[in-house]
Amino acid sequence: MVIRVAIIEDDPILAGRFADAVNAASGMMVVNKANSVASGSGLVDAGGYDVLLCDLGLPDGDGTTLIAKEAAKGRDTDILVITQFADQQKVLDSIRAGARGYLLKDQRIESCVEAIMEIRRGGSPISPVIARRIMEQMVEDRSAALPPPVSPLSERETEVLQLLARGFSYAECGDILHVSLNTIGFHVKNIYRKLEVNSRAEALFEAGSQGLISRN
Amino acid sequence: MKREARVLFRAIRALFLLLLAWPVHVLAEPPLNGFVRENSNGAVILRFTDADYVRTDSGRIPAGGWVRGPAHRGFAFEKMGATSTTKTLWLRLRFDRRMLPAGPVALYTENNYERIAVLLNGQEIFRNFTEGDDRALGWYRPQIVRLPAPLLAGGTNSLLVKIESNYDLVSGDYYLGPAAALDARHERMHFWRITGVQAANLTMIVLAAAALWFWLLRRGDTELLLLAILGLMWFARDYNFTAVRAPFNIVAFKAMTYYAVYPAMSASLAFCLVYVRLPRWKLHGAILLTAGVLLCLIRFATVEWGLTGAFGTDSIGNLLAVACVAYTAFLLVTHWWRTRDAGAALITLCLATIITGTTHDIGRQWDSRLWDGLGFFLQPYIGSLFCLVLLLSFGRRANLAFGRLEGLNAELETRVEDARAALEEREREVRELEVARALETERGRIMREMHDGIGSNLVAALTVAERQNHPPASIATLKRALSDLKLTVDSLEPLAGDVVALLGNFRHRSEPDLVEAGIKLHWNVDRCERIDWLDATNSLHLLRLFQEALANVMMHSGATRIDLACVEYISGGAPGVTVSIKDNGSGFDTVRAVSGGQGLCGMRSRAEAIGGTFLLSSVRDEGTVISVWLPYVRQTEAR
Repeated sequence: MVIRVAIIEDDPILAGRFADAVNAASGMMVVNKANSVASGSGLVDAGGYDVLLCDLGLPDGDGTTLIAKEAAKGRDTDILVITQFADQQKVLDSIRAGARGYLLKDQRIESCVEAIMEIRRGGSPISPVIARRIMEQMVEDRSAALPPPVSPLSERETEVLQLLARGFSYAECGDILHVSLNTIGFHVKNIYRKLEVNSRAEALFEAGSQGLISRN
Repeated sequence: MKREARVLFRAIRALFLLLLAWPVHVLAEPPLNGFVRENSNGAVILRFTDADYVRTDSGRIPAGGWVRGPAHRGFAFEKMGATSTTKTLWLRLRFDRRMLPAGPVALYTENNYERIAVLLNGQEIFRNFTEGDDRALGWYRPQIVRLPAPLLAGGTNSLLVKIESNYDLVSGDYYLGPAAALDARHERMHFWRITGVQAANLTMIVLAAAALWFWLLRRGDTELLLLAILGLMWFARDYNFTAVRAPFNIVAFKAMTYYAVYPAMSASLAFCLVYVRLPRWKLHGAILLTAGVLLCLIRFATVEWGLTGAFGTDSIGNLLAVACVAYTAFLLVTHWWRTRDAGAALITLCLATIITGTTHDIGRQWDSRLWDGLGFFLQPYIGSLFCLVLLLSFGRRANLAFGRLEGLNAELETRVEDARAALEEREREVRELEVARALETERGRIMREMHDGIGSNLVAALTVAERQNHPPASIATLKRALSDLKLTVDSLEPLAGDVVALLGNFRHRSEPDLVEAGIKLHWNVDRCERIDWLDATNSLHLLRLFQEALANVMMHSGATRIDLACVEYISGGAPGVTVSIKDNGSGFDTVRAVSGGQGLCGMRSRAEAIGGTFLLSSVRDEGTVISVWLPYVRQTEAR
């Protein structure tokens, strides 16, 4: 089963390196490429891939809109964000839009193959800062102005998030919680999914409270 | 002999005739009326025990037909008829002036229904009504009549009293004696029968009106409504005691007097139950009010249909009233027994007084005549007793209301204070948020610039350098530059002093390098409190220190394992956090290294710059440990 990969990246050198790395790996291939929001939009509409690598800083707009568009399709697609230095806020925003992981531009482009394999296996990467941010948003500090989360985190997910926020690796979390490394990745992916669902609910709530969306 | 016998016969006949004529004389001139001597105010007064009566409506002084009977109030009475025609009863008292001491003499009388005129030896000397006024009243008003000395005969005197009524016709009590002694008696009786009752009634009607007004303002308050009803009803009842004239038709007025007592009583009793907040007071109150209606019906039946029975009408009413009172008393006493409430005790005491008073009144009514008691009725004071309770009730309510108001004020003040504190806190938060947002915006701007500018260029340069096989030193320099940029970016991450998250992020960044260098990282990080002073500048110092340490391990030690630990540690009495990096590398001579190594000096000075303590220990062939202790509160801040 070949993993089909689509790449949206405006930097041709970087796009080329990603494409090379993917094509060089066994069991995956690049099926489509785009270099702007406009062409990326057509790419998303066309579909036909399993993993979408998407840059955020595109010349004609924000890649987040493409991520949201892909997420809205409801396909079995995994979205990985390509980011410069893992700007945490941008990563978090893209996760809220529907991304399930991220790739760093700066080093070891070749490691994107492992990340693609990992995300297809069901796991997602997470940094302690993002774990901490998610906890702030979904576990500890629920603002009264917002509705309760439509998909609250499970007890186990909260535990995982707390350990990750304290800097433990997936393997260490697995040891502490007596589960496999894959399970932790799976939990993180679920946490991302819930974050996306809740952020969408919050957006609806805010839109509704501003009278933008009629209840009928 | 024959002649002597004839004289004797004549003498016996004369004696017989004389004896026969004697009773005729007695009938024509009856003996004086009977009396008993009583002590009153230090003087002896006479109370008549009998009198001569004639019942006639002719209007003239009766020429004869006197019938002797007891002179006790209620002896001679006649119930009202269907109409309010004027009925007259003549009463005659004969006495000898010599039975009384010298000086002014007076007649004192009371309980004549309704009005009287007094004649001494045929001359009218007193009258308490206008001739022909069929609405004049006076049954309860004590009367004192001075007997003018010129009209008084030295021996036998005759007092005639004309008693007139347009309702019940009843004769009263009569006393004769020194004017001073009877004046005193009159004054005392006038106070208790008239002045006191008027004062009580007036107070009561004013308070009832007030209660009614308050009830109109607070419709849900049954207690106030009952107070208003009982006040008005008792007033309607008691007006009769002191009135000198019926305000309207006498039959209707008297009917009002008699009927008013039942609603007055039942409202009073219901009020008692409401006052003590008796459980299910609504049920019991309804029973009592129903009893009030029932009593009115009984009265109606006895009066209108003549079902008087063995007792007079008032007695039946009073007995049933006593039953209601007993029922209420039972409820109150059991309630008081359960709750030991002071209000219930007070009301129970009040009711006990009423029971005593009512019993007293029933006994001294003219149609029961069991005792004279205090000489006046207590019933007119019952309403005012409730007025007292009303005042207590108002006092209690006012006290409660004031208490509540004070409590409310205090609570409001607390709330205002809380709200103000919350507002200040909120304002402070908003200000902080604004500052944080400004910082965030600025941070974002810098990050974007780094991302789009320096960062992109560095990555591009690195890519080019690697592809074109530039010298490793160039590639390493580019990589260091990238790392430094990343550290700077990370230090700007808003972590709110969370040193563990800072370390975690550092690990996340460094892990790929460590993996590449073949070094396994052991993560041993405890939960720690926030370090409030750990802002972006201080974070950057700390991150550079860690990076330096990690670089040393990777470049010089040849270590295969690093233990990164973070624990809470109290140093010199001050709580803080110790972060340590320990490797299993070659180690070095610390004395030489400290004096000469620039890297170690740099780490130490960075630690000191942020108020931390740097420690280094290294053993050859065993490894090196560096640690930084960070206080939760820095000394400069603690001071």
